[in-house]
Amino acid sequence: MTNALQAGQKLRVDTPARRAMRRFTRHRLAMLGLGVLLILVALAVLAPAVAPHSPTKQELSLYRKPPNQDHWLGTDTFGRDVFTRLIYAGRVSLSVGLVAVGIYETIAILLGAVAGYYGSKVDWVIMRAVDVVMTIPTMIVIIFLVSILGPSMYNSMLAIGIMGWPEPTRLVRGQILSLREMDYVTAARSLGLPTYRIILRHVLPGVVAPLVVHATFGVAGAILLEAGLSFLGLGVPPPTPSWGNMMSSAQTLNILERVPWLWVPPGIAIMLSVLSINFIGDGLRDALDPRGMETG
Amino acid sequence: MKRQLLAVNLFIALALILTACAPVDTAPAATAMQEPPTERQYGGTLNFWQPSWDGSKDWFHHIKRDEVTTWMWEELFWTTTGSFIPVLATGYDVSYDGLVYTVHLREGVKFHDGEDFTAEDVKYSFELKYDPGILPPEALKAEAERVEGLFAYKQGEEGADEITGIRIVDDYTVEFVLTDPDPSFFPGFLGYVEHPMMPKHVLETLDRDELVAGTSDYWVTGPIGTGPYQFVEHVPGQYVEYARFDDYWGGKPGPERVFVKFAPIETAIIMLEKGELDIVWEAPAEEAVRLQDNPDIDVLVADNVMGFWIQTPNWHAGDGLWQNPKAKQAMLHAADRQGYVDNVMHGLGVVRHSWFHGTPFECPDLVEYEYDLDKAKALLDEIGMTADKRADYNLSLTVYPGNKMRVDYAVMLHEAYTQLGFKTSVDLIHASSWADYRNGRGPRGTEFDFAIANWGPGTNPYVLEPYMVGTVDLGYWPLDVERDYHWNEYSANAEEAADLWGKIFAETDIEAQKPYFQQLDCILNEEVFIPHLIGESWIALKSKRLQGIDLDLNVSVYIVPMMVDMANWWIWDPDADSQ
Amino acid sequence: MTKYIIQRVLVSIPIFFGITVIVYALYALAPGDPLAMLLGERAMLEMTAEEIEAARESLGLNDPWHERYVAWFSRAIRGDLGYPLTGGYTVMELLQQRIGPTLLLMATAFVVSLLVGVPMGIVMALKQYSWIDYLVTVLAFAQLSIPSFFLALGAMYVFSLKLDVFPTSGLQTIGEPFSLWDRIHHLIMPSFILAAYFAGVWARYTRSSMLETMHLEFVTTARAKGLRERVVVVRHALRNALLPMITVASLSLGHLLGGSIIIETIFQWPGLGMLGWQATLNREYPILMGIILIASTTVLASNLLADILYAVVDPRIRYN
Repeated sequence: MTNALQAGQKLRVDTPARRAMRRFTRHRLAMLGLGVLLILVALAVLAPAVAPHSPTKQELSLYRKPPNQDHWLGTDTFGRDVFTRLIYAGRVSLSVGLVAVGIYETIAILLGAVAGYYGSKVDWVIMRAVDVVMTIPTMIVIIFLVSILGPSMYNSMLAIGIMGWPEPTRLVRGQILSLREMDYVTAARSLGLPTYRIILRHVLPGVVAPLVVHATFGVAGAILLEAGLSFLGLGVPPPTPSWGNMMSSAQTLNILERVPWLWVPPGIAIMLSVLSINFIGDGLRDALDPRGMETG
Repeated sequence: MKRQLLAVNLFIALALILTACAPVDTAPAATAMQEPPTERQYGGTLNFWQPSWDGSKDWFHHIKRDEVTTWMWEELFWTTTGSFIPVLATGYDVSYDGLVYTVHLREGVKFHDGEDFTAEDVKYSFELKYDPGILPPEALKAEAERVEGLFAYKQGEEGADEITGIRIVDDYTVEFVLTDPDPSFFPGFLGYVEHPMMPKHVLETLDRDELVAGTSDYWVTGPIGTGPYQFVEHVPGQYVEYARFDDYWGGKPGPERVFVKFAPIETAIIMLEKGELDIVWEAPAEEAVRLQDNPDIDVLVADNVMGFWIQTPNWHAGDGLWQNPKAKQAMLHAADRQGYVDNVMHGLGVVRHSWFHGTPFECPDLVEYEYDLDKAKALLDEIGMTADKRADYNLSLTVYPGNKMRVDYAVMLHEAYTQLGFKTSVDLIHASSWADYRNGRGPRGTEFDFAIANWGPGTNPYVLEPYMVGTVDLGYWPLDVERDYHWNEYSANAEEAADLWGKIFAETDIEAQKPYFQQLDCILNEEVFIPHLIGESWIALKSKRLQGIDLDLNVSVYIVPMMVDMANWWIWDPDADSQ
Repeated sequence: MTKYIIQRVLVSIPIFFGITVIVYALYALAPGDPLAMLLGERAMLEMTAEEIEAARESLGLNDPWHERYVAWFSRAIRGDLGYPLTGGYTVMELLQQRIGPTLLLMATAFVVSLLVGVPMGIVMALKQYSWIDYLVTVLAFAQLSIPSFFLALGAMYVFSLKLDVFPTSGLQTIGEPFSLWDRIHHLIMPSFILAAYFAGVWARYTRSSMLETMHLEFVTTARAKGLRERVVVVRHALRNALLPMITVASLSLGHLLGGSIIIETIFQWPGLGMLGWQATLNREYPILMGIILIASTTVLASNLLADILYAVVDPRIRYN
């Protein structure tokens, strides 16, 4: 009886989250993107269980076999299974995206919250720092940093991560500036709650929605950046596969023309993941903020 | 639902668009290819490839023969292994005591401005090259320091305003006087690629400081030399243009113009196929395989290049165990080098087993290290590098990412060493970061154990001597570890090797040195002085238009082998011919 | 208005200083021994400690970093960015040689991306949730999701080699006199590929911006007044939706330059991107610093310009 009542109440209460959820599920491309991404993530997470072969074990006699029963996407120059490498590469590429974005969104929340909440001089300094980093050509600095730190998965994450924060910082600050004057925040302040609590409990939750949207686009961008770095010899070093280094190692006309199973799968994987993440971001944006907002 | 299906279809369509980029187009040429004439033809434009050039104004730093400058600048000799090709000199004599090299210059050589090339220019060119004002203060090669007075001159010492050891005897004879005899002097100095001949009569009218600092406009507007082509224009990042020099001493060259075009290799292959380039002088085997089917392209393979890939253990790491020959032999046994040559090099390479393998100096009873993983493990166990110990080693394979084949080589070794139980990683190092690694400032500190590099006897078989019996560091491992032990300090054969080098240096004739070299090679073979693994064939791609290339030359690894006779290249235009 | 402009200019000054500090910090914090790069490791081995010290001293590598910053800044502000480690050109001369091609490429790519992206965005917004929306959305995102190096090689393979409609690379046909058509012919492939990504960005941006304005009161009012839909869209919604793009577009210049690194390298387009990549490879810090400084200052100036322009066309800004 009680349970039924609660369930009934839940159904009746139309929370903003619920409305957003409904709008998101109506966004067909977003749902499709979510589906595809879930599959990609599941494959990546479960790679050791799902993969039919080892991603690094070489079998030189299996030189570039086209797709067949044993090797669904064929084998590469060293006789390694392309399908296996593809899903292991997903682990690397997706985690580069997630971690890099995680790094800069964290920086953004900290700086944006401080700037937005305290205002005045602190705000001025942080916002000028944002302006400075925003004017600097990101890609050149990332390349410079990775070339100094040495190419590795963690350095790619780090370099992308420490260059991406200005835009979300602005976003967080802007949101906080408007939230700060909201009634419930003013009320909390007059109740004498400590500042960090106000920021944590009352202000930040309002910032999360736009930040999540921004982050999805960021993840897609970071995956592409990693691919670009691989092309320049600054990506994840072999034999660890990433979608980027699988594609860039196939950058010869011979492979392009005659061994398509070496570049089509990672190419499609990059496209699918970037597309799905963008669709999800789009759907989230439409769902969370029907007025639309700035994009990157 | 319908819309979802549509979206799915769109995904698939996009995937297909990607795939559609790869149509296979192998239609054979409809008509039989015309045979090119055998005689040199005159006229036409030769398009030559160069991956990149720093594009600086400062050609002075290029006062050495490279693929770009060799069209206009020449040197006294080209060196080949054990011999030489005379260029601006016709030959040389060595005095009985080995201290005086008398070089006879070619007569009738003219600079591009019509002035004669004489002994004055030779002395001037060397003194310009070693001018004390040149920054950075380049360290001298051991062979250069042998020249009497050169070191003092380079140091800018009081009163040393010339190199006393370079003496003009007459207009066409120059003497090089040495302080000590050195069989390496000819291949390492006189015939080395760093001394192109400059026009004294032009340069002495210019501001010497600007010339030396590299800021002089001379290097931009019109450097001249004696080569078959004269400089026209350099557009940074795009091309260098040369025009034919009709009075070239070797006879009038064929093509009227030469363009040295800069492009990355992937782009260059397409340019070659489109006819925008005539020669890509160093191509990956991967592309050669594909272009073998193209009737308009010739794939040239030079197997006789005396350079190869090495992967050398850091002797200082691993408790000194890497110094044990058996450890190095094990590393050779662990790698399927033939499989690599087949798969990655597409057969265009060769497995080597010793330093002089494939040369006349090869050990007569060469031991071959075939692929045998179990044997490798047994050897390592035998010297105390047991499985549990191996798990503690961090082997870092450092390799330059610009060369895909070499990266693949590291990938192959990675697998081999992982099989042995080592912790292994591939570290991509751009050439400029090399210094960091060696100084222990790289991500791995001093813990890097292997470097993959390109080395070999080249044209100078003596090049190994300072590393074996001297105290010269091989240069492939960190600098901040103790560097006071060398091959000759731990090798059981060090004494014998030193003795052999002594015998080699006592002979002036290379034929007489040969048996000693062969004995030496047996030691190198057994001790695996540096594991020398893969000999890479030199692959060049050229258009059918380009004629007159002689590949049968045994030349250095320092410059494109086929450029020895590029003055003889000519362009044949089959379409123009048939009209 | 004047007050607003002065205010904006004043704010730009500390930003400019910030840029120079960052640029210099990158240099000062970078590991690696420029001297070793210059001389070669083996050469340094054979030098005595005094020789190495003397070389460092003469190249100014020994001073503390803040002193070098002040020295560098006071020279940089006068346009003297120093010499690269090798080569007789000054950094300024090198930048002057390379900035032209880069600006040409970037400007073309920028215009192309707007011409492609904005209409896509408008279509997406007007036909929201229709099949056209989905089709264009997928197209727009496809542009965002192919790595540019792959697009470049693929395009070169298809359009240069197989179809033979575009030259492979470079600024112009080498050996022939300059002609405008020839330059455009060479410009098309690299600029379109560089533009592809940004077209996707603009499409997405325009779409959301349009959707936002279409729901605003004045648009609704305009509709209510019975204006034809096309007039509403063009005169009211579009204008107001595109205004904020001035700012976003000016901020994208830095990203365009970043994207040009790979494009310029593959297409042998002798601009700042290619120079920057070579400078990274060769550890030519002075060149790299020069490029970052020039690029950032350009972005800063264009932001300033965009803000002022924006204030001119949209008076509300001035009073905020």
